[in-house]
Amino acid sequence: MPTMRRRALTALAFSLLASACADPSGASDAAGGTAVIATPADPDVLVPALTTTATGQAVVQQLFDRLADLGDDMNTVGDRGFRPRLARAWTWSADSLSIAFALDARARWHDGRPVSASDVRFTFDLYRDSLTGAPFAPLLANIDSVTVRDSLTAIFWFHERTSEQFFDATYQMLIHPQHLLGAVPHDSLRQSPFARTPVGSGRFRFVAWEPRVKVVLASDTTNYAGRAKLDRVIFATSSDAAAGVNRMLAKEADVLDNVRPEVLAQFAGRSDIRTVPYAALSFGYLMFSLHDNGTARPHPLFGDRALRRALGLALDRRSFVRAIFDSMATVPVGPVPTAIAPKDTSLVQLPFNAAESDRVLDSLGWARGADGMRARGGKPLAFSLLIPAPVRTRVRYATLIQAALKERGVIVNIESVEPPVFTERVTKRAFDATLYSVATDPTPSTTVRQSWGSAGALTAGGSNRSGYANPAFDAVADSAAHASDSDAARALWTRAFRIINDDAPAIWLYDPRQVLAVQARLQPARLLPTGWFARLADWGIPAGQRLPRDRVSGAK
Amino acid sequence: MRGMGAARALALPLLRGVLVVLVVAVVSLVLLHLAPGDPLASSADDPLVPTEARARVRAQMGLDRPLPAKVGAWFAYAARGDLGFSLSAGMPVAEAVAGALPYTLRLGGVALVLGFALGIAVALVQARAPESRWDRWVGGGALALWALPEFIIALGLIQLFSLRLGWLPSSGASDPWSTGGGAIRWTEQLRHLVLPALTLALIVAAQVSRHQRVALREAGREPFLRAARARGVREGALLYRHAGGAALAPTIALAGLALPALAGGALIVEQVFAWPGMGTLAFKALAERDAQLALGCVVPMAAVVVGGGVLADAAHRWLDPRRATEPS
Amino acid sequence: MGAPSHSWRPALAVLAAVIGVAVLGPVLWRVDPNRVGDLATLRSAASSWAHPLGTDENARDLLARLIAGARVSMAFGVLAAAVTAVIGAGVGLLAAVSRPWVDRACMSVVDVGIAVPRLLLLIVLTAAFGRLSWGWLAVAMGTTGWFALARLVRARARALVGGDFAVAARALGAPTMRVAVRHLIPNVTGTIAAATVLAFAHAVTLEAALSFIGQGAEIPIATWGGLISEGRAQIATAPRLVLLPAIAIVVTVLAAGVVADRVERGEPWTRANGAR
Repeated sequence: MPTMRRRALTALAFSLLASACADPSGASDAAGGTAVIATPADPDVLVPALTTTATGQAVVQQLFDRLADLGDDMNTVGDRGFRPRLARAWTWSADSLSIAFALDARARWHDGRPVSASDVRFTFDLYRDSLTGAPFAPLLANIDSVTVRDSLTAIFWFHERTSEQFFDATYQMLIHPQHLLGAVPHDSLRQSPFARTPVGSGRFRFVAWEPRVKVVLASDTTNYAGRAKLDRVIFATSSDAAAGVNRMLAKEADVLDNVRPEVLAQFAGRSDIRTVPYAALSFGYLMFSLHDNGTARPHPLFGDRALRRALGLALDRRSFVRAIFDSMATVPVGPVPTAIAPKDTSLVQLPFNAAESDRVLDSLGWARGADGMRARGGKPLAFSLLIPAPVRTRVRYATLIQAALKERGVIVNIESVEPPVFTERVTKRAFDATLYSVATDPTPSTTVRQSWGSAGALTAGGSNRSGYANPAFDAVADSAAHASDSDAARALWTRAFRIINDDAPAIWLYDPRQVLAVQARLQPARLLPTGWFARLADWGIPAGQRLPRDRVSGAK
Repeated sequence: MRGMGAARALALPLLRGVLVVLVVAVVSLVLLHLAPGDPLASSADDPLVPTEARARVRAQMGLDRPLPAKVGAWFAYAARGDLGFSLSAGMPVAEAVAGALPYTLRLGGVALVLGFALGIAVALVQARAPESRWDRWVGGGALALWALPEFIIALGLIQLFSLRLGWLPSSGASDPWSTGGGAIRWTEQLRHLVLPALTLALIVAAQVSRHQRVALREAGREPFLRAARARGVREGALLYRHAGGAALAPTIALAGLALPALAGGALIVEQVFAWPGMGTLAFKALAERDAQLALGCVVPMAAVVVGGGVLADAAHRWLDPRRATEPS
Repeated sequence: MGAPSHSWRPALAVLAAVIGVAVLGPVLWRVDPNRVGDLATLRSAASSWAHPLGTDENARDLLARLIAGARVSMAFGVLAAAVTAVIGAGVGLLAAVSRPWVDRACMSVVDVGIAVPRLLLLIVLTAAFGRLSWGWLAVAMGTTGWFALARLVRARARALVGGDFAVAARALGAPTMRVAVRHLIPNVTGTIAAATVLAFAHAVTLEAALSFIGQGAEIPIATWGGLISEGRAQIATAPRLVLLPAIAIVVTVLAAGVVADRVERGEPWTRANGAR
């Protein structure tokens, strides 16, 4: 809980302030100020169960609460490090198959109603109902039900003991108000007025949403978890990426996420803009389709493990990362972002080795012709690389991969399509290869098994888009997910990643270190890999550095 | 008498205009029906929305119906003023369009007026001394403007006035943090309007000045002007009072023709300036394959363009009766 | 033309030079525009002997890409202009000499075409057909740009049909089609030629606009508009990546504008009529 030390400011403390920006608990505790956050798009819907966009997440996580938040060390095993939020305490049953959460009696919805255990039960039922279509519903599969013991005690019942039961119960769900949503049919939540004027229990409350212009939040000054330090937070939409950068340069915005290296260069000479790097949980890779157009037949090219490996060997991932991200990214060692990868130096992915790549391609019968391009039985070695059109990182990766493989005699035809077409094609598995990027949970147990486990390989709705299926990988990954302690889990994950790296259903390309740009007068709190905005309510602006726009209070 | 004639002259073109807009709607429906892409899958990567949930929404929204049914349904609802529900905007299409249209009308209206004023002024300066150095330089400037793609003008203006000089805001239609009302709000919105409106106005002006100059010169050859000149009317007065009037008619006709160019230019300019008007809305709708919303954008835009054309044409006839006898 | 007589010889020379570069460039500067150089040292590098104009963010030679861009942008413009000229002139003439109902039908199509902003129409078209290769994009551009020309040609031709020589020809018993071919076409070629040169200029700028919003030619093809949109992220750190292709576009379009002016004097160039 943030302590609300009232202004004991002396002139001395004030002068220290400039250098002490890393310490948000310092002299800046006086609440107040306005932060304008430049976002690339409007939120989609402000129902936490439904939102799928980054902006949507950034907004709903201010308005709504989890039962408990992850600690600074991002631990997901057991309940170590978790911070109480809506639940002020919890008790495990003797057999570890249920957890009773005791809610904070002071917690109120922004309309004044108390938050109760039936809201928790309602939320779980909402996420789980297939009519709702909650994107994270599959991650709640281990929870059997939620029951209400009394108005302040909700009990989660689990199917089986796993190392991450507690995480499953607290991380995926933001608690929704039953009294406002109980009457809304679950399949029309998207169209309900609540989706545009949400009422939550978080430290910020909703003020206004002007479509394609801004979403305005204000500090919930009587919140049980302490008022948000900033008076106002404004998510200002800039449909054009460069417009967001310009807003930072012209001081019309205070915060910009996802700052790319070339933009970083523009901010470099500015003393009034601070750039804060932070680890994030997204990473990108080149994914092969192992099956032919969504059928059970193997893909004519990528059904062959040796060919996939040969293409991987041809890609100098390290120099790609340097070219595109400068020093702001690394090459992942497995199918997870580095932040949650096992710290085992012996775990490596396929090396870059052009000569070996050529040798393997030759041995597979793909011989170079007069023009240097390879063919076998009159068929050229060519495939299409599907990418989403407006995503610059991937456009550049596609360009570099195309050029690198051309030197190996392989033709890559880049198909860049609009995002809705991209997703449709990937979902139907109608692609040869694609550049893909995922934002993962802070644990491999969920995302890795969803993306690469054979269970989701050939089913229509399965999230395993490559169609990769290896029983050995499944077995090790399952035991890793059920490992009782973190060390055992780490060792098992290392084994699982070795298997998938050898099979090369994908070539891991980049793990960007995110950069957040903020105007120097802002004092950000800790930036978590789960989202830079996770502790936004603790951000502050020192009273002495406020602008006229910071002093407008009571936004409405 | 003349008014009656104007009304009658207006009725038929208006009817034709309505027909044109209907055809635009049908053609758009067909093209959007052909377009691949799942409107519920607009985030670039796997949105994880379960397949069954997507299928249900598709059915709810009638996205799976065959083309004729879609066309029929759209017209049936549109006739009742219901343009459908926009998935990407999360609100009824009519509401989304009603939110965006005023921004575009504000931007386009100011650009049109400013552009015409600028263009006519330039033409007058040129016409006072044809083939002079002034004429040449101003004409060359107008030609250069004409050759510049609008996004380059926009980028240049932002670099100069927002980032270098810091005089004007770089994007948006208002300050995100503004809560004030009255005069403060008004000046703030005006400041935001300057750069995008200027970009579009320069484009319009380049065009208008060329046309106006020709029109002035042709009007200068009219017998009544020669007579006036013979009477000893000063050249300047001649230009403004006499030739100016005669040359106005073709320029007004040009206003009708400038509308589509303006609408197209607004698409790009709104994008660069993150202006929350119809252009950015249409882009968003198309990029996210939100056919309902895309139609909701295309049809009103076409209606404005067609309506403007009809009005300009009518005004032209009214000002210049010679044209009334000509077949259009 | 009505505008001051900008000297049109330099303009013609510029156009000829651009076309010359487009045709001969790859022979004069033998560097593969798509070859990625050493990523460690050659990203957005300044000019050097090996790379006179420097390199882009992917370590590709900028001069080679500008030349390749000239090829594609010229071919693009010419193809789009040709399609515009053929359809526009054809429909315009047809409408002028045909029965009233054909005339009305043709002009209704023109009305519809003019009512939709061309850029929007192009985006809808690319959406409907998935991504278009640049050749098809040029064709699409041509087929969305002929409406104004058709209207212009028809008006010209109608004026001539009513004119003295057509009356004379008809009085001498010449059939309609022959009147059209013999007398109309020679009298509207100026109009068509001027409009075609303008259509070329519009196609070049429109391609730039499409690339700018991410709807341009497929990767890795270099076009001038594509170069601008690729270089835009570095506008502050390496402005030449944007400035050079932008200058190329403006100079070419300007030259085309002047030439078009000259081709039909007294006919002011215009980009109204949904040209953009």
